[in-house]
Amino acid sequence: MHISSLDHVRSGRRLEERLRGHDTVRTAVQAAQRSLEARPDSIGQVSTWHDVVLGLFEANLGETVVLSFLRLSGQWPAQRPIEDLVAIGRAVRDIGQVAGSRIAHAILAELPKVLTKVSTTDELEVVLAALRQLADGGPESLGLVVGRLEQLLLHASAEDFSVWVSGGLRASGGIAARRRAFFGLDDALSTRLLYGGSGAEDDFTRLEKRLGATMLALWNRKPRFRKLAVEKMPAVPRRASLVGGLLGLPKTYPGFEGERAGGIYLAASAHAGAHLAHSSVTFPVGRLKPLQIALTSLIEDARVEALAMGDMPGLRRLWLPFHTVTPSPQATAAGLMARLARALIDPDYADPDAWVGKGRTLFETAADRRDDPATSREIGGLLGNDIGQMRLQFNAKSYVVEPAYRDDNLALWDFPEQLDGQVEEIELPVDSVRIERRHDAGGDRPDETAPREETLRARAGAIAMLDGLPVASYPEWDYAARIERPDWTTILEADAAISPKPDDLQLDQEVTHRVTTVTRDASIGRRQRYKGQRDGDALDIDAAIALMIEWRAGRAVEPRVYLRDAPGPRDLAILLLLDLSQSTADRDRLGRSVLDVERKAATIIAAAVEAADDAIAVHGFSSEGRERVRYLRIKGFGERMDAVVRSRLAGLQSSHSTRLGAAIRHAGSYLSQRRAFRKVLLVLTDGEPSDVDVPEPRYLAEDARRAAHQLHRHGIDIFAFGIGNGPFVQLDRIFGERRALRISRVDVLPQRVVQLYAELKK
Amino acid sequence: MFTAAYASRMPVMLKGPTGCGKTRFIEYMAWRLGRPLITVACHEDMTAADLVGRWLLDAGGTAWNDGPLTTAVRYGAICYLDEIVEARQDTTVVIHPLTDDRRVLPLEKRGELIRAHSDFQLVISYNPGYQSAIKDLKESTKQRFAALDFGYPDHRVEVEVVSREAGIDPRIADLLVKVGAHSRNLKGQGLDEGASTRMLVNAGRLIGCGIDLNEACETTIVVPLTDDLDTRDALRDVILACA
Repeated sequence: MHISSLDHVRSGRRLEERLRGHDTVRTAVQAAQRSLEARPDSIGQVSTWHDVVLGLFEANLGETVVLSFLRLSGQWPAQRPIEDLVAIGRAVRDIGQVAGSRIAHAILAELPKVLTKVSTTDELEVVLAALRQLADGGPESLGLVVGRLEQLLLHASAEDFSVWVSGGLRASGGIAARRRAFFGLDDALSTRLLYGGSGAEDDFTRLEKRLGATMLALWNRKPRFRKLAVEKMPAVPRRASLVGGLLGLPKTYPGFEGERAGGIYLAASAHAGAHLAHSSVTFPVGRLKPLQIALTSLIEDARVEALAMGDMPGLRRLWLPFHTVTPSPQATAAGLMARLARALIDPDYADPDAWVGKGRTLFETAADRRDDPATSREIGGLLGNDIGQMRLQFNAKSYVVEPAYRDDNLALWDFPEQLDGQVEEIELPVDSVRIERRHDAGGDRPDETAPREETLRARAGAIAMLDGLPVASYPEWDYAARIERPDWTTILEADAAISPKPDDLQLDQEVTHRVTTVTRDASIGRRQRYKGQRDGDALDIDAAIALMIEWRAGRAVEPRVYLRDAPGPRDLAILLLLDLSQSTADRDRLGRSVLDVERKAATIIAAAVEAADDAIAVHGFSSEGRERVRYLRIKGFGERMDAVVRSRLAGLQSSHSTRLGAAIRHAGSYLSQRRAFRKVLLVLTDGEPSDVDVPEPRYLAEDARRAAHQLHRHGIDIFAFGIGNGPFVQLDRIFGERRALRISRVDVLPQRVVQLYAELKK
Repeated sequence: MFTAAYASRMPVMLKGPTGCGKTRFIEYMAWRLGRPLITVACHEDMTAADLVGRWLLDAGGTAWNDGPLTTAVRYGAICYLDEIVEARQDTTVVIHPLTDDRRVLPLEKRGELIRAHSDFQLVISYNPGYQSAIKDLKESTKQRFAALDFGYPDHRVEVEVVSREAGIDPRIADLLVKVGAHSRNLKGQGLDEGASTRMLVNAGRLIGCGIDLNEACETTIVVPLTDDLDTRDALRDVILACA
């Protein structure tokens, strides 16, 4: 007998004893066990299964939960390993203990429905882990998710589901109402995360940049693109639209998704380009009937395409594949029009229909007047009359321009009144509320900026801006899901307020003096002379004499006798980023707060660096959730270290949390605009990144680490000074050991910073 | 125009995008004027000594070695400094005394003042496009030169150039020139410069060797011009549309 079987007899007996008095359960256990034992893979698994049943029973979730697990066990599909069943049992017990027996029961009822979708052990583990995570982070929303598990997993993979759950927990920032909205799919972000994946974009977004470049190259026009929303089941297929100089393109072309999308977007934008280049006038609608309008538009389409192909014959290859209509005996107005469209572009297309033939002849006769848009009107009018005489029905409501790449042609017509509907449907891109960041012009005084802010405020509309203007949004790295969440954090930027009280910083004269000496030494002698080079601008006479002596003495020595001039210390741009979070208000034994130290250090450093003629800016940050990362400009690169800057420093206050990654990214955007040989970001902080909506400390640290890496890749050096006696576990991780410097005695901070500065200058 | 400038030995600056024929032009002019041409391609580490000359060691001691500029000044050649802004700032100052009415080249290291040969002329080229503002010419340098602005030749001429240089059918050359003209629309919007005439000639040469048009353009135009995938796709679209 196998040892495992012995085990399972033992564990079976234990379970049996525990279930004494619970006969229903006992009978169900026996039945389920029999069916499991009949399986070839049951060896060694039954005892584990016993433990799981026991665990479920002892979790006090009620007999129904145990019974439904046993039912699931009895019907467990032969092709699924028993491990999966065990995993489900364990997860149900864990989740049940947190969220209650009703949820546990619901999971057992819903999970079997999605087993076909979640087909591997790994996927099942992922889903169960996500449910566990949700049970821990938002137990009240678990019911919402479990109840529609089948629906959710219909469109999303296990991985997507897990990302969605963790994203939701993060996005709702610990607020139950927001969690409910997210997991109840009442939140736009929620659906986007679930169905759009994380970084996955629609075809339009994916292709937009390329299309823009192509349009510019082909037509020397840079159209503004707009994404048109596509409803789930549109009555009429969406077409491109060219209204008011905006080229609207559907966010997807149904039937041409993914790989095939490139062709149709290209054809559509090339067609729009042909219109922009050659449709010089708009036609008055006047008393034209819808049919005549449609036909005139069709001829105009063919005309501009013919003109464009005259310049660029290869365009035919872009457009032809979409003309797929073939002659059919059943004549409908729309069908004939599609055939005419093909006949006008495809010389190899043969169509027996007399009307199509007539259209072709008319179009070809007008070839010498191709430049004249009036020909489209004439031919369209003539052909329209013929359709009328043929008594063919034309339904203007259901008519849609064919083939699919062509636009709706509304731009060709001068409609008497403003057309509504078309324009309104344009989905405004998110960045319309994002305000262009103005350049760090320098010399900005608060009284100058105030009116400008006022107008910006008005433009930005309803966004509440008590803490500054939303100037930028940055992605954030989710190390657990290994994805970058786009536009996750919003930076609210403002000039730091001026403190009414005079600046009370008592600067240590000696420190200031030492610091200034260091910086001055670092910047004199801008060019350096290197001696003993193999090659150079001038001879080093001493070396040459020495060499001649050696040579005459018969010794072979390397002729290193040249002098070379090389640039000495390089110019620097430094951005000093101050942590203004609540914890910087903590005071040490002498009653100095970290903020005081930061302030003092900033004053000394800024003055010293300025004396050495390098650019330095001082900024500060704090955060209150991902949508409110406050970023204060204390001193711009162009500003002098004057009374205004000093009183801004004096007015700084500690508040809220430390979302370091977003602040680093924003500071990086300032530095990358600078022109300097070396760009340096110095972060003064007292602790680890944290924020109200992030329970997990590692998350923000990993994001900050990534932000630091990215800046580093862009040639920006980052150094961090950890002030105080904290352990700074994460600081090394974020910035790298050599770049994270600890300052336990606060009064040496300015010196250390300036020493670093001198190093950098070399 | 250049002949007239040469007649008064006026220093000349050739401006224009890369590959539009600046170097070819000066070679032609030197040939036509029957003057030797000394071309110096300037690079970032080039110092004044590289231009003027330096002391070198030989078996018996030190010997002075004329740089290319000094040679041109002494013997009356046209000295062409290609892409002058690439060179370090001190280099550009060396040419100052040569470009005003003094027409002398002081060799401070040797204690010599060379009066320029009467046939000497200084020509520099300068591509205003891709250098960033920090690499601009100094105002004091700029104002010493007469400038000839070069652009890409007009369509007909460029077709002729491409077809003759590459030895291909003018119809194919016409197509290549169209591709080039379209790509130049992208200047500053994804490309630093559009496809130069030189690139088009290269594409033509490959086609002349029997290589398929698309592949030839891919190798000589699309891939060299940009590393941005979207812009590459756009260039491919252009080739597709023109072919």
